[in-house]
Amino acid sequence: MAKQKLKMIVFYTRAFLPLHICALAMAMAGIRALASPQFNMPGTTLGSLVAETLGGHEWNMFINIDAVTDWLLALLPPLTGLIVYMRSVMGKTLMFSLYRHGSKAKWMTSLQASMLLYTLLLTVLMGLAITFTGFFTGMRGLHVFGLDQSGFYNRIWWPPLFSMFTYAMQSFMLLEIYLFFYLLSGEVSIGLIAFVLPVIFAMLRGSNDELSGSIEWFINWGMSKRYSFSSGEYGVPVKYGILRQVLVNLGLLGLTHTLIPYLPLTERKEP
Amino acid sequence: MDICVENICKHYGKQEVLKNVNAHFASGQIHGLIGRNGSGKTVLFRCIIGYTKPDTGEVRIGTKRVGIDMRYPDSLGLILDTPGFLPQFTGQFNLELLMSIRGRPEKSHIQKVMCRVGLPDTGRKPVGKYSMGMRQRLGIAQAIMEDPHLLILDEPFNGLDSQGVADIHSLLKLLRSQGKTILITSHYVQDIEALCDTVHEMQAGILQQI
Repeated sequence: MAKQKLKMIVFYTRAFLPLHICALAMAMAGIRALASPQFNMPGTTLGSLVAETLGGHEWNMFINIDAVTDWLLALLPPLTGLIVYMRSVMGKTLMFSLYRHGSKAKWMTSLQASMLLYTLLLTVLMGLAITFTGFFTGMRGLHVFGLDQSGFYNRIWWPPLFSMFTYAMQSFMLLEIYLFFYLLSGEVSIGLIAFVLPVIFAMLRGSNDELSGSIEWFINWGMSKRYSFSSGEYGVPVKYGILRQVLVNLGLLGLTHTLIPYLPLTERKEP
Repeated sequence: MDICVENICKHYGKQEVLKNVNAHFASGQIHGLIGRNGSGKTVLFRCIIGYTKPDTGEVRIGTKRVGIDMRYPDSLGLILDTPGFLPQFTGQFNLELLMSIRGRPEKSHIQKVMCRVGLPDTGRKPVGKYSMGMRQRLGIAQAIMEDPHLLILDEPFNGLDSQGVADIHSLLKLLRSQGKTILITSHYVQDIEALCDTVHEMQAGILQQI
């Protein structure tokens, strides 16, 4: 039974990931890597390029609209895939699939599970695209140079993976917000606004490291470059950031689940 | 399992779409529903399968009340409006995807069902490139592939050529002989008369047996 459910989720995720969405995500990631300031720095490794491209922006008192747009562009590929997918599953396909699930809650569970898998897969694809872009332009090494646990400057391997993880978590959180408002309104435009506005607002309000409250803004939990990894440094503590992201994601999952039985998905004449 | 529709009323805003509809659809038969566009046929089907909640009245399938004792009918095959599939994938993949929800999708079984509805050689062609008739056949394939007891088919002959209509007539008669209960709507009265054991007409939300 569990194997069968897993197969269904894989099927659904495959439906999320048509070739053009994969190509878009990889192209966007490659372009952002090429445009990254890290790209032209001598001695840059593949690992640091990934950490830089998916790691967001440093703390900045005077964050400008370019940085906001850049981060929105970084988050665009998962959103595009979700919009394409939701159009399919919420259209006439819903009529075929909903009764097979047996309830709206079960339908939503499969959708959210595949959305999580999709976000993780898309992040891996983007990470690969950045790595290949760097590799073909002569970069080597999946590590970054940084202070290890004993305080020595050394090769460390986890920062690229950490930046991919925080990026995936933030993408998933924003996709959940999109999904929630889209299901509530039935309008793609409302979902888009619900996705974009929090990013812009949080970036503009929460990027100042001289205001201690900045850590409370969700945008910072999704940018590994705003984390603090050593004592005395200002930034989002690792456990705090990850825990908050996971809790917010769980909260959003719960909220959508609570709401879904009351949403008129099939009552609308043209769902 | 018999289907009993009792005192169903449904409003959309000020428009009364179903007006105190009562009907009994006996098990193991084909029941036809005719009526003009917007007369309320599809809304009645939506009420029967639990997709639309009626303002008053209830639908019972066997002894269970739809929306109360069960959310949706247990063993159902459905076409409602134009069949909607994921256009970038093949017909086979679409059917596998739908079948994976409730059971184990077996490629050989799906290929057999596709042959049964006249889609034997679609290969790697995505559904987006199917003709209207092919989509309709695929819609019928997804409705029957899990061998349900109840089939609700809203305009299943749309887009089919005369050979396609004849093929689906034969298929539905075969399914009736296996004890399935089939509810069907069509604009074409001759289709319904040739195929159905009972015929109802819907006129501006009022249902009457002919």
